[in-house]
Amino acid sequence: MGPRTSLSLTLRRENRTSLFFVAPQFLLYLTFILLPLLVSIPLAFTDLVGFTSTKAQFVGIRNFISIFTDPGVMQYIWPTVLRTFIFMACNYLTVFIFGLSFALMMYELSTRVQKSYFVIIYLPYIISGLGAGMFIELLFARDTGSLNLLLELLHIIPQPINLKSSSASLFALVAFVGWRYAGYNMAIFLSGLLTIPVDTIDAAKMDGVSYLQRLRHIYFPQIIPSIAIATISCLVGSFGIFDEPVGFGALYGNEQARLFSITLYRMGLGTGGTYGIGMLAEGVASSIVVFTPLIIIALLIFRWQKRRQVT
Amino acid sequence: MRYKLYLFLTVVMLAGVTAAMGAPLVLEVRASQPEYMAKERQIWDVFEQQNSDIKINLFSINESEDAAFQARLAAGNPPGFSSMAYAQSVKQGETMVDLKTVDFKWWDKFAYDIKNAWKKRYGVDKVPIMQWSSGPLASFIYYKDEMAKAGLDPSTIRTMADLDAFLAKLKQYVGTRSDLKYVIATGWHVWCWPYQFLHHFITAFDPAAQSKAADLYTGKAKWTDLAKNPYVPAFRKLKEWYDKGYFPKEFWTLAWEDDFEAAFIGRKAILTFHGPWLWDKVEAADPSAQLAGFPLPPNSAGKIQAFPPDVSQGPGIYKDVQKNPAVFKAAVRALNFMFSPQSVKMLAESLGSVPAYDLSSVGGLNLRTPQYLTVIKPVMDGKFGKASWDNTGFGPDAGGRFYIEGRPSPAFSDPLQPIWGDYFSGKINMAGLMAAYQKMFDNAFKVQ
Repeated sequence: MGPRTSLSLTLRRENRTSLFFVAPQFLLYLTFILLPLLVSIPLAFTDLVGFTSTKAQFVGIRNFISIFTDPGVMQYIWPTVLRTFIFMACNYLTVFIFGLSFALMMYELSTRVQKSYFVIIYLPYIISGLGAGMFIELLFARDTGSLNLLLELLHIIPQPINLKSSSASLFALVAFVGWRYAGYNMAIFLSGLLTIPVDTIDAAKMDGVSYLQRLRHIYFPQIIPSIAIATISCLVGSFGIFDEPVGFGALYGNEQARLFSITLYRMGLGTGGTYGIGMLAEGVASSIVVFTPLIIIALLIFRWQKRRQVT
Repeated sequence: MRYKLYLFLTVVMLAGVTAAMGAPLVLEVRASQPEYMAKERQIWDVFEQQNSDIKINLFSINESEDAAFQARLAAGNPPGFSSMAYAQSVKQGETMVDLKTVDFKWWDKFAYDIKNAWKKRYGVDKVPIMQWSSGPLASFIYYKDEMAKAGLDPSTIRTMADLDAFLAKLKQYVGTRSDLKYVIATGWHVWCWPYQFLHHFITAFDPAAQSKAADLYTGKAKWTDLAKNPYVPAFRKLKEWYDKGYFPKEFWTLAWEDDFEAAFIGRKAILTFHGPWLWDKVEAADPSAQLAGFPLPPNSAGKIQAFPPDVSQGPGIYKDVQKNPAVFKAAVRALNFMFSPQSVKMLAESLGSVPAYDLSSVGGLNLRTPQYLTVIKPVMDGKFGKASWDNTGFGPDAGGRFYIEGRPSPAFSDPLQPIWGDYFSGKINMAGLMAAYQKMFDNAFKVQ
């Protein structure tokens, strides 16, 4: 067997091994993300009010038109889309404030210390977002929240912090999500930093280049793929985030925490006078309308990042 | 060796199959409310003793878990028997078994026309839900010891003017204590405020309030005709109380359990307005707490609004249960057990609900719950003069047959929260409030 044949056999074996490890995750993705997506798209062309409804009729593109023309539908969708964009912009800042800062810190620390700090920073990511959000809500409950009571007792605040006010909710939610995903974003940036050839950094140090100059001319240009991934992750994640707003009471009374994902949930679930709105078909249509541009933006970011890598 | 292994495995399998054949049938039962699950478990234990071939697997669903439970129903996998099922629209009723078609023994025990009650509301001749009790009465609830410290006696309240004077004095007292924050603790609940509480309030101002509300929900009257709208006096009074600082600031943003109930249990207020569940929650959190209550004052006709049996929610059997004949048969047995006079007596006495049921065959009833003793019985015993309970159905129920499935209803739905917020914060006036209600009605009801 010649060297070329041996190499292709090795490659094929490696590919099979890779597929074997990726397969379970891909199957889960196919079963719980792609298939439900494909099944739900036709619902956008019906008059279904909720998924426990027993009858539905085909209505063509009526739902897509009503998203832009029917005030009864628009009142639920567009304010939450705007709120989500604001959340996304603020959240994007935390990606760098927390994620990039921690990654740079980890990169410069010695290996011994690095591992312990990595675990500590990554820990919030494995906590349930719903549980942590509810915990924060309990800590800041207006009259019985431990943190509110303590801060009032110490005269740090004149009156309890109301998590349901527009500024507090947005600030608290952004800070909470930023803290929770710090480890996740740190891992993305750190993986990019670790691919930078050490020789270039050593050469720069020997030439007397300052740290800021190294960041600007060596680190950042070489972690463009990581920045792209973190950007797309933030973009898509901000519109998909659910557990944390629910923990902040988005389904029960806290309108400021109602992001787009919460609105979609309310439109499709909950009948009989609960938090539901009873517009499943309109909800599916609005998700197609809102997410299609996001997917295009994500693909454009990927394309830009690949071009930068080539040049 | 291999032969011995095969023999062993065969014996084990046979033992398993034999055990399975003799095992009781497991019937999943949804409890009526999470807070009543422990009490209902004791009653289902009695059922198991009487029916050794059935094992009851009791579970409860909290409001936050409702969506997951709806997904289970949509998947066609309901529990065998539900002590809390919903038939709040014609379409929801279609998912339930018509209980007139099952072998039910106790039709003559109901104190109201159960066979036509749902038909009267929704226009379809069936019985999807059976209700043995009156609905959950809402009333003022207070801590006896704290009220005594305040030097106030709510049992003297006979009119709305008396109530106003009482609340003014209570506000003065609350102002002297740094640990008390509110005169009337409350929060936002999508059903309690817009449906349960509000419909107790409207009767306090107008003896014909419920029939006028029925006219609104059947399209015979307009919400925007403020002179004839029975909700106007009630909203005006509530706004007046809010402006006077009796309710928490922006109460419509306060979570029901985490903020409001926790605040009352934590004694941030002496007084609140709530249904029967809070009594149990306070007792569970603080067994030494002594609660008492009083109803809204009677109207000009001497009537205080009660909550009649609500046949849109309660015990029922989902249609999909019929796919498994053995489970369906067990569910019907459970239904007959639950509605036997012995069980209704046990349930009433443990949950404190007033039955709409004939219990003379089991020696009548001995209710000892605080709500019954301090709120319901005094009215029946004449302690409020000529006042008596009004068992007229709530106005919105008349529009049940016109309701469009899934649409947010002005009777109770979450989109009411920002509307109430705008009204109480002064962003909209009464005309604006009723215009919003009219819009919701036009969107959610199709009057023929």
